[in-house]
Amino acid sequence: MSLLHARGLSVGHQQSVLRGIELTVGPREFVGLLGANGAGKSTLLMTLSGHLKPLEGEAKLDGHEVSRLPARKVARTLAYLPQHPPNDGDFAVRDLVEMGRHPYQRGLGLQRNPEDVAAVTHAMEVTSVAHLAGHRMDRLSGGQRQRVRLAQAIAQQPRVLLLDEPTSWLDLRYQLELMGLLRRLAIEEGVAVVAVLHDLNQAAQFCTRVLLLAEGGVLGDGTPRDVLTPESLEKAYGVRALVQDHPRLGVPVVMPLDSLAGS
Amino acid sequence: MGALVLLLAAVAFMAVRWGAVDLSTAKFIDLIMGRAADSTEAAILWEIRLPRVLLALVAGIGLAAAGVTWQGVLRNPLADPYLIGVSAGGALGAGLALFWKGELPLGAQAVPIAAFVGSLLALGLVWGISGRGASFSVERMLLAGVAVGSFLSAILSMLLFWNQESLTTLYFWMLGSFSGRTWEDLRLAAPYLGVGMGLLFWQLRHLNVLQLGADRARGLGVDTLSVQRWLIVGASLVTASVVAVCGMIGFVGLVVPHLTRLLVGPDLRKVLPASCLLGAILLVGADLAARTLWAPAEMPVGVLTALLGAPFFLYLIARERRS
Repeated sequence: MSLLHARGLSVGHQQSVLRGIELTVGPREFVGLLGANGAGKSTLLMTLSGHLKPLEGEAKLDGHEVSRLPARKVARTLAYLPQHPPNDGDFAVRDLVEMGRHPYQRGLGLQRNPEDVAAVTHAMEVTSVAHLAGHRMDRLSGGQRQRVRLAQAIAQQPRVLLLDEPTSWLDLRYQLELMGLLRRLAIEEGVAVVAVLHDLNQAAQFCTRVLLLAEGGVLGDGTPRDVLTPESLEKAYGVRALVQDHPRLGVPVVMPLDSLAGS
Repeated sequence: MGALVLLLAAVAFMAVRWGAVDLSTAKFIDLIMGRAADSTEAAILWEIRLPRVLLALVAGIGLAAAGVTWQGVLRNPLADPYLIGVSAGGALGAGLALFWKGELPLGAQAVPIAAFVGSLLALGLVWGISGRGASFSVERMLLAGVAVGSFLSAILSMLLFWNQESLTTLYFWMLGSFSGRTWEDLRLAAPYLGVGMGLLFWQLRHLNVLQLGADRARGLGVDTLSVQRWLIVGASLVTASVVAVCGMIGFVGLVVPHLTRLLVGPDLRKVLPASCLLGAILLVGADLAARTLWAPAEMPVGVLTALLGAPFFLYLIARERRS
């Protein structure tokens, strides 16, 4: 069963940055979307989430062309966390997380049913923001805000979770916690997770699959061990690197040597 | 919220009792109970005070609600109900009715009806320019609205240049007043105001999420284009009906939403109803002050709201800077 399905997909704002993408992502997968700046990672994610129309080909969510689905239906299946969301104003943390229930609510949305409350509480617990419930968003640190936004996405109870550089505002501890959380969401709760990542070693450690984008297409698609090779890293990033096994975790570790442009 | 309801009741009670003729509490109770029904005081209460106070009340509700909506849709704290040229259309309509007074078969209601029609035509024009279907954009609508507003104001100025005897009348109309308003005015405005308010409350849940920006709102399941359009139509209907019967009363739609946010926080599901109450309180109170403080002269209420509203707005800005 596939939740995300792309066929002959070209994406871009006016000119295509990626062409002929074939991609299928199912439940229990945690896909790391990798590639150099400008490779089209964010654009691909926006297209898969329905925020951007495909230039060619199709991008399907659970069997339906995502750009033609009603917003409410998409929001019940898919949550998308953009890279630079506009500010959250002075909303309280709990109110913001509760907005994740918006696609399920009717009327004024003032009455809280037990399902909504449970989903919100759970989302705030797994993202470690429960203790911030009454705080205002504009008084939080960047990392705290990022976790609240993730809590909102989780409160949507999506079957597909798309995240654009979710770790970029977080310190090392929360980076690891978040990557672990995403992996658990995928493996234990069966969510299909796709995240744009820059840290290759975190991708290697946590993702079940990585997708390496370069030269307007998919350069590698498979397990971190298969994709993260010195040859493909050189092609994708213009960087020479050693790849060895992690002494304890048994995952590949990328050790960059130098930039080809600089040598 | 309960406190606001009580406050509104108190202000409205004072407003129907006090005026050129004060009604004592005993007299007031007599009149409410239906005694002395053919006295002068009864006529003052039922035919002059009550419609006037009710009109100030619904105008306050309407302007505050339209202000909340515009500020939410545009995500801009400086937006107010007169932004997109609807009021300029109303002023032009009122101006035309004043020039051709007597020639229109509308009698005493000529000015409000013409103002309302003018407002709706202006809205239609802005609507037509700002794009259909998926090509609709709030930004384009805003720009079109400002341009249409300036254009209609220019036409009005041109007409005034040729009909300078109407200048004073129209000037006072534009300042905004509830002077001499009757049940007829209330009857004219109420249906459209009601429909507009209904639209706003219907879409309120979505407006609240829209504050996060259109992209994120869509991600949370809001059909943003349709929601923005319904909200704009609702706010414009409300504004048009208020402007038609009492002119352009300034600053209520701008200040009240800010004031309410300070009281109840950023959740628009609370801000909108609370703003309605606060708007009603302020406008009923301002009208009471406008007709009693300088008695027997009567200040146009729009002068008073601007006189109080503008400094208060400055205070809010200064406060914002400090925090």
